[in-house]
Parts: sequence; structure tokens; C-alpha cells
Amino acid sequence: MQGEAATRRRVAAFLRNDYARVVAAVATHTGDKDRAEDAVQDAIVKALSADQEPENLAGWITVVAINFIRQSWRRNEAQGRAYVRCATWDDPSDDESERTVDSIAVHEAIADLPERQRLTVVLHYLDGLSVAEIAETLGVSAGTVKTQLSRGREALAGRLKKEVA
Amino acid sequence: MARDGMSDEDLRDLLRSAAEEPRVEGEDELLDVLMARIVTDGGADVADAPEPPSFLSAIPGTGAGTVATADARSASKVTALGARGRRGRVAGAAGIGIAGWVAIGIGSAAAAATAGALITGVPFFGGGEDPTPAPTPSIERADAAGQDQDASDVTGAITAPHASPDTDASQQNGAPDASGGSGVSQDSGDTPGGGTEGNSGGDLGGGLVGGVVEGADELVDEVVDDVDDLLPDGPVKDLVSPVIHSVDLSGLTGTLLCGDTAQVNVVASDAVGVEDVSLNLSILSVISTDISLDHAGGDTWTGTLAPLSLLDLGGLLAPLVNVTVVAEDAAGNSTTAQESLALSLFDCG
Repeated sequence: MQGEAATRRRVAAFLRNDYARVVAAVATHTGDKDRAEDAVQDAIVKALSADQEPENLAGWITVVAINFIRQSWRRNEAQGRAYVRCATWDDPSDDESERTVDSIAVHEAIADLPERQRLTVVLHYLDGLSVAEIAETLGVSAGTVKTQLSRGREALAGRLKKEVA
Repeated sequence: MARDGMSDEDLRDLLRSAAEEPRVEGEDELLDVLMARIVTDGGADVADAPEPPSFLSAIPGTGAGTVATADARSASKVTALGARGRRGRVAGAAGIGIAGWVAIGIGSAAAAATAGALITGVPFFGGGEDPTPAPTPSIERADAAGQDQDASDVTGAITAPHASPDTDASQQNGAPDASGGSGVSQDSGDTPGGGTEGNSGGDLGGGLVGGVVEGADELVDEVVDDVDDLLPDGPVKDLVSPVIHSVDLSGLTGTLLCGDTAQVNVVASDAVGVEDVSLNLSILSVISTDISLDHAGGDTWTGTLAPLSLLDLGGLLAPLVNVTVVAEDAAGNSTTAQESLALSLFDCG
């Protein structure tokens, strides 16, 4: 593990630059806003407690946080730890109704994607990871990531066009 | 929304627009809490949390969340075929080679699902299994020009670069212990079972109902992708050349110059199978005769040479005949053997 001061700087930088985006990505992937922030906090602790920091911290934390949430679903467990709640999700106002409808359609389209496609789509489009970075984070080949992205892109585009029609 | 002819940028903008980021306040307090957990506790409360990745550590969702149903549906398929961790995928390669590829080859979704079941059934992760990464599979690329990945891609699929020294089998399993919060626990007692139970035949039941395969197309995709992760891009090719064990030209010396046909015998073998054996006979670089040998059973190939005339011999009484035998397999690998012998008219009885 890094020195305490270095770790603190690293955590602070992550909170400043990546935290909100990663929480949003995890929430989008899982559809579970309530647990997204908690899971991301756990993933931060997990990542920075290790001897070696992951190469792509944001991507790593996204994947681990998603796994945390899936695990908690599987075991159907309640929150047991007191987390710091920093994230506030805005409620859409009336003048944003159209945008909200679009948002719901997008979320549903993402939710309908197979797991692999959904994860690569979230990491690529929401977390901003490149194909190579996703491959590294997930431990798969770049070709596999490209395939999943292509399928996910095609499925999303088709689904969203259908929503409009 | 611009959805018609949606470009990559359009899609990115659309998704980011839909995935609203929360407003974050009170970062200082969060920073202090996280530092306490990291530095003071050493991350003990998440010590048994799952390592990334990945597709393969997917655990079926059964509970909360707007996508829980879809998640459970897809996760069951992922788990059935994939949730076995990196070593499992390597171990599964042999199974793919025999069952999975056959299933894919014949386009049978049901058979592919069965192949996946066979793969999943391999006990990849026992509770106390050594987390040492498995060795890199030794597979050569057939199409170097078509590859879009480097060796690190392949290695990355089977190693755990982020695993900390205290990583145990449970982490390799991708199965966190979850007793509180977001599925994280200090209790590691039941951890090993997590990944194993997730990989067992019970999960396969998510894709099999009463013997009927559901979502077969996606199951096949999962199998293909798993194989993609293991193999370099491009088809796997036979790179082993045939072996020519013997070339029997004894028939030439006694008969070829005497107006009779002469038989030659070649014994050649190959790891996959010899596809063709040909023979070239040349004399003084003037005469050149090619024949294709016939498979006579086993590793033996035979051919018959037409008799030579004195004119063919360029007036020489004891010309040196060069015989070149080429054995080739289906993949195009070939081996050449050369023999030289002197023919003599005096050999004619």
C-alpha cells in the first residue's frame, strides 16, 4: 500500500475527478442508485488497501462496485455499514419531462442488454475507458471487448430507434 | 434525440445524458472516512471482496434494482458458462476444444449449451485452491496479419495482476463475502463457497428449464467469447509438418531402364494426416517426371513410374537419377526428401 499521504491524495483526486461519474456508471449498470454510492466507497477502500493499485482505477472501481451490488442482491442482504452519503440525485422537474422520458428509455435499453454488453457499454461510454483499458480491466482480449461493444451499440441503437417509432 | 443513423458520439452523448451524475457534497468527510477504512483498518472490511473482473465473475442478481430481473436473467446465463474465473477459463480450453467447438461447428445451440455445462462442471475453484495463475496456453497464431491484440491480451486473461498477496481463493472466485453494506464482509468463513456455488450446475438451471435451452443464441455467444478470450485472433492452424520415414526406390534400379514400369514406395506420417505425396524424378536436369503417389493404407504411399528410354538418359550408360519426394498435409505443411541413385543398363537381366 502507498504511504498515507500519497493514499490520501489519491483518494481525494478520485473523489474530485471520478467519484460522481463512477457512481453514475454503477447506478446505470445496476439500476440501483441506493447501493451504488456505498459500493463505490467499498471498492475505493478495496483498491487502495491493496499493495498494488490497479492501472485504471476508475474502471476497476466500477467493475468491483458492480460486483458488490450483484453480490448483495444474491444474498439479499441489508445495509450493515454506515456510509457517508455525498451523492444527491436530482429529481427531474416538469420542464425536464421529455428528457426524463428519454432517460427512462435509455435505462431500459441498457437494462435489456446482456451482462457483458452492458458492462462494456458502461465502461466505454460512461466511464470513458478505451477498448484496451476495458480489456485490461476485465482481463479479456481487445477483440472480445470490440465484439461486445459492437453488439451493445447495435442493440441500443435498434432499441432506441424502436422507442421513437 | 438524434437516434437515426446514431453515431458513436451520439450514443455516448445520449448515454451520458441519461446517466445523470449525482451532485456530490461533503467530500472532506467522505475522504476522512475512507482514509480511516484504508489506513487504520487496512481495508479489512473489504478484504474478501471480489477481485475484478469481470464478465466471468458475474453473480446472478435476484433482488433490488430496476434491472434486477433482467440482471438475473442474463447473469444466470453468464454464470452458467462463464463464472468460473480466469483459471477456469484456461482449464476449460480443453473442454471447448472437444465439445464446444463441435457444438458451434454444427450450429447446435443445445449442444453448445451442453458444452458449456460440461465446462462449468469442471471443479475449477475448490475452497483452498492455489491462487497461482495458470500458465499461458501455448497456441500459435495462424493469421498474424489479422491479429489485433498483443501477448498481454492473452496473458491478461489468465493472470491476476491486481491480486494482492493476501488474495485468497475466494477472491479468485469472484465471490465476495457479504454480510453488510454493499455485499462486503469481514467474515471470510463462507467465502470459498460463493464462487463455487455460483459456478455449479444449479446456476445452469437458469438457462435450462425442463430440458429446453432458453436464450440459446446468447449461450452460444458466451461460449464463443470465452474461446475468444483464450485463443489469439485467427484460426488455430496445424503447424506440424509431415515426416517422411522412408523412400523405397529399389524398383527403379532393376526395371526402369529395361522397359518395365517401376514402383516406388514412400512411408510418411503427420500429426493430423498426410494429404498428398508426390515424387519428382529428374535426370541430368533434362528429364523431369512428376507423379502423384496413391495412398496404399496406413502411412504407405505408392506410385508407378513409366519406363525410361535410352534417349532419356542422354546417352549415358549409368546416369544419376535424382528423386524428390514431397509429403504435404491438409494445412499445407510439407516435407521434402531427396534420394539419388545411379541406374545402369547392365542391371537389365
